[in-house]
Amino acid sequence: MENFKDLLFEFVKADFKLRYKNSALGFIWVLLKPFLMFLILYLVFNFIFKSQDPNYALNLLLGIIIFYFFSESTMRGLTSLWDRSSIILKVNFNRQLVIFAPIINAFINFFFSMTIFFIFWFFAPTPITWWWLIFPVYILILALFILGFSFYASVWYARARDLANIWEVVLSLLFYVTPIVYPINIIPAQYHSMMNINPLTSIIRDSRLILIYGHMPGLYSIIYVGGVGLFLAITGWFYFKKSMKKIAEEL
Amino acid sequence: MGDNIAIKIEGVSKTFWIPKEKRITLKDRFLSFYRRNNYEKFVALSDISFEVKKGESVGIVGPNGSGKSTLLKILAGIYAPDSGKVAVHGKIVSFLELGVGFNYELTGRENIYLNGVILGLKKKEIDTKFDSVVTFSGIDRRFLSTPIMHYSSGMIVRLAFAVAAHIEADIYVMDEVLAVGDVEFQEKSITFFREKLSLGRTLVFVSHDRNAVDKYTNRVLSLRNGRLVSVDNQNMTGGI
Ligand SMILES: Nc1ncnc2c1ncn2[C@@H]1O[C@H](COP(=O)(O)OP(=O)(O)OP(=O)(O)O)[C@@H](O)[C@H]1O
Ligand SMILES: [Mg+2]
Repeated sequence: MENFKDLLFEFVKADFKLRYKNSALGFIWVLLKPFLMFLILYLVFNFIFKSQDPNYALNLLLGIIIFYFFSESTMRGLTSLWDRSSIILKVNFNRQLVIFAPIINAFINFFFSMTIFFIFWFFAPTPITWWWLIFPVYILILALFILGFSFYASVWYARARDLANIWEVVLSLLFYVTPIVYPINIIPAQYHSMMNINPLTSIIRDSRLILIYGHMPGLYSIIYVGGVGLFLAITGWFYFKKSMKKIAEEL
Repeated sequence: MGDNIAIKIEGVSKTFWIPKEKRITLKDRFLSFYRRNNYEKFVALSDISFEVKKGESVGIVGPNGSGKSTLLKILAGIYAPDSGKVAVHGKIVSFLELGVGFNYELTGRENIYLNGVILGLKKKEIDTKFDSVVTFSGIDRRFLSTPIMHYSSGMIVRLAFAVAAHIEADIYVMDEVLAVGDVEFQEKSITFFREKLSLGRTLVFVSHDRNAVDKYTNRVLSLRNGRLVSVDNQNMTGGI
């Protein structure tokens, strides 16, 4: 369809407006929510672990922002097809759009919430290196995961609404099996390879390596997460397309 | 040969699998996974064939549940037929409902854009047509920045119809969009149909209002239980 771009833009705009309508702080919440989450976790875990790492706060904040992007966008991606069912039943347009729109919105939120990170960074700067340029690649890979997940899960969600509850629980589990509030070295080394299967572990670890420590990220891990992310997004795309033939009848 | 054919439908059938009882949770799905017989076949359309010529105005009538909307959805490409062929020549636009995508919390202006792009317009096209849409709708410009939940229901219908009237296509398919609005609105819609027909456009519409169907169409298809029971050509001199 030739107005793909305009349609996507209007969807994104409508989602955005509806989200912040009748809210006094509006868009500020995008910054405030991850920050408050950070504050709580920082107070609790810094108290428990008494972390020696001078970068603990920055590490935690970056981990939370990235994880928050993942959880927000997958949650919204999950319900996106169902949320637009009234339109899908009435007009034949490119269905992939309904998946893109909420993810783009979550990405906008992520983009702005990174400003909190940079405010913190500003007060305790870490070296800026060329590796910083690779950071967006990690976010792109994360976006591929989110997209792939949403292509599959939005179709399943349209058929079984339980999925939202299940995914919510999985997300809170993921938050603790990913080294976000704790450093990975408190976990016995023999479990590390198992933890690395979780793409969030690699993405968050490498993002920290790049932005906070100015190191080169592991080539192996970028190939692993990039490959899996790409695979998920591509197969998801086809699965979604195939399912669309039937899905209107089931909404 | 088929140069003057707008729509050609041949042997179209559509069957839905309907659950014998409501099954929506995962547990139900799980339990029913090995019990497919919990679904039963429902034939919504069986072996429908007809042609619509370019410039023709065709009405589709029939009792509730006879398959009219299902047929239009197949025409619009929303449902895929189980069997049979659907050929559409020219740009088709379907109004299965007016104001698709309207959101009550968004303003009149925002909804014009949202509805417009959903119906296939480009943003630029809406920019140029915007004033004309508002004038057509007859809505006081002061209300354009008001969320449409504060509009009267007639105003919402007018706004929706105004956007629809600005969509250019060769074939217009409409599902019961006439049954609404006041006298002035009815007149507007008549003008709309007249204009489209005079431009050589093709119209297909579903209505329960037999008067309207007689008035607007030169041919009437009757559906009953998913079958085409009659094609009424009497109205050849038809209405508009
Ligand atoms: N997605 C679906 N799944 C199961 N059954 C469906 C589905 N869509 C339509 N049906 C069934 O197909 C039949 C025809 O429905 P349809 O909406 O086409 O009727 P209609 O002629 O438009 O009726 P009305 O005059 O009330 O609008 C109905 O019995 C309806 O329940
Ligand atoms: Mg109907």
